[in-house]
Amino acid sequence: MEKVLEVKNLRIYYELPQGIVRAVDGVDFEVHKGEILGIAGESGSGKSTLALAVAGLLRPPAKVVSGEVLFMGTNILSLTEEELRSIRGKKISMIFQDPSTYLNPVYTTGFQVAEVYEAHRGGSWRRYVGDVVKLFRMVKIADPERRVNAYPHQMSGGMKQRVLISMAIAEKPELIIADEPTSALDVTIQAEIVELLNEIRKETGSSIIFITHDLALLLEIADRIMIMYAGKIAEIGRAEEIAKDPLHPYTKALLSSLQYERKKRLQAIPGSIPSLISPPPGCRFHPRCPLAFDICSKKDPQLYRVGGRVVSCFLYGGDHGGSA
Amino acid sequence: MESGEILRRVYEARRRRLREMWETLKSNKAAYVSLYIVGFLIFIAIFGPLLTPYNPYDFDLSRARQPPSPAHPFGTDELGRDILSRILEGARYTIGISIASVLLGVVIGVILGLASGYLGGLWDTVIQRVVDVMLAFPTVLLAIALVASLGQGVVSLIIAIAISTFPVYARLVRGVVLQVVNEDYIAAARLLGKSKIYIMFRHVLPNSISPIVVQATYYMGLSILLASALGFLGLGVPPPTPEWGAMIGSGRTYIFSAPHIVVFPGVFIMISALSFNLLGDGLRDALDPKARALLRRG
Repeated sequence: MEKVLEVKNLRIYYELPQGIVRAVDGVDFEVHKGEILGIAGESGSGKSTLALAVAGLLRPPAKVVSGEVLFMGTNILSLTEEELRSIRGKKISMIFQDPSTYLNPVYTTGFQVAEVYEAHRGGSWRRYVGDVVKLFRMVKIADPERRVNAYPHQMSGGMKQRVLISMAIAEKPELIIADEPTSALDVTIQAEIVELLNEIRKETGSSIIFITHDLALLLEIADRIMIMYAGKIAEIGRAEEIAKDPLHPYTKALLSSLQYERKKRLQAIPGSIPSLISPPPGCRFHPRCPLAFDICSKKDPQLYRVGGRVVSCFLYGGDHGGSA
Repeated sequence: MESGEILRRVYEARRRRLREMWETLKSNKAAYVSLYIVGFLIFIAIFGPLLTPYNPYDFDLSRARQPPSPAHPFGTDELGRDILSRILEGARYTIGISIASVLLGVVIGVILGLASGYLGGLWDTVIQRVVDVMLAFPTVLLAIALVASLGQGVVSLIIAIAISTFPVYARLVRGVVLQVVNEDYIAAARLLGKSKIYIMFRHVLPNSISPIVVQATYYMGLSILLASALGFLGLGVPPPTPEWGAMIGSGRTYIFSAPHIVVFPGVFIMISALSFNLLGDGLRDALDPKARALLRRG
């Protein structure tokens, strides 16, 4: 299968006065053409840092310590700002959590979407109003001819997110990174936006990285799911496999916290996510892991292949006794 | 729908917005009335000299310090000149100086403030230290020094007032800009590859405009007073030009025996300052699409 994106051994550290935060610590994965890769994890697991790195948006104090982000064969991390500009918004675009802060309150939404075309194709925004209406129709904004003249404050949150999605798909990008695109919306709107992204993927053939802390949502929409824990990959697998047969103890715990039955206590994971300045030695999940054994606190598990899946846990590989 | 038709709708929406702005301004009664007063002041600033019942420069000591009467509705001053005529003649100096100096001050202040807040770094340090030094001077003292070095006259008065007031705008704009540049939509525009100048004027400035409008209209009044203060010190528009502040300055000796000499120009200064302020308040609401919607709803 054609790979749109390939991330190899990526390490991103934040150098803060309090110490070095290992936000992303040795991550390998790939995104295939036309697929939706879901990335799930708790707050502080490094999901968003990863997204910024892929879009070439990392800013100090974030620092890439090692690794490559290959987009269609070119390493994003080695490009200059000028070169990135021709990719960003055109071949890779992003959708963010809070749509209202990404729209300028003093201009109509139509003008702001036209500005995207203006930036990439040149000429005056007037030339692109027709395209903007088409985009609005594509993202199912009702009455698009009228809505291009609406200001952001005249729109609901879901509608604003549709406007931002229309900006993201304006140039039919190869890859759309959606960082918690539905977290600020209410549940019914969430479902509509997810459905919309799914349709867009089918129509344009774009790949989507869908980042969220909502695993249940990912099980619905994603083709493959990557579970992150404390800056590392816990497990990658097809959505059905993850749902039916989770391998990593963390994935298992996450899934059981989703399964809710009446009159039964909610299955929470004891403890909380570790500090990324001084993570626990060995496997970062071992202090909270019900299945931990000796080696877990001593050695860092590699990514082990189990069938078509990847899991980072000593239950599935590695030399339990001695050197790995 | 073809693109010409859509464009037509875009323009139609724009006209509708202008109408909305107008309606919002109208709904603010004080601003609406002020608009007419300001219009009237500008009218007399332009046509005042054609309307004067007497020659504003002809003096006749036998008619000096006459209280208001049918012949002289505002009375006569210490040299027997008709005060109404002098006010009509002087409007162009007072109103002209305040509008021109505020415009000049705003332009200088806004450009420096934008550069300071948006470009940051060395720009910010240099501009803000200059502003610090200028703010440390009392405004009047600075204006006196500038007029003294530029020489007397209307143009040097405008420049002096503009230069002694622009640091306030520069500081104000910088503060607002620092807030606006952290907004996500500015980051988004930057990611689109728009130039710094484009972002500065197209995205940052429109979002920083309301406090500037308010400050500028407030300074309309203040610059009238500053011009009068300079006139009073003999550094303003040279006599016998009937600039309103200078009229108060020269009439102040008679404030107890013939108060109308200072009261009428004073009333005009007060009315102009007040109506510029109220108009500015209304304009700010009318220019902001969000406030506009709120006001129409409420």
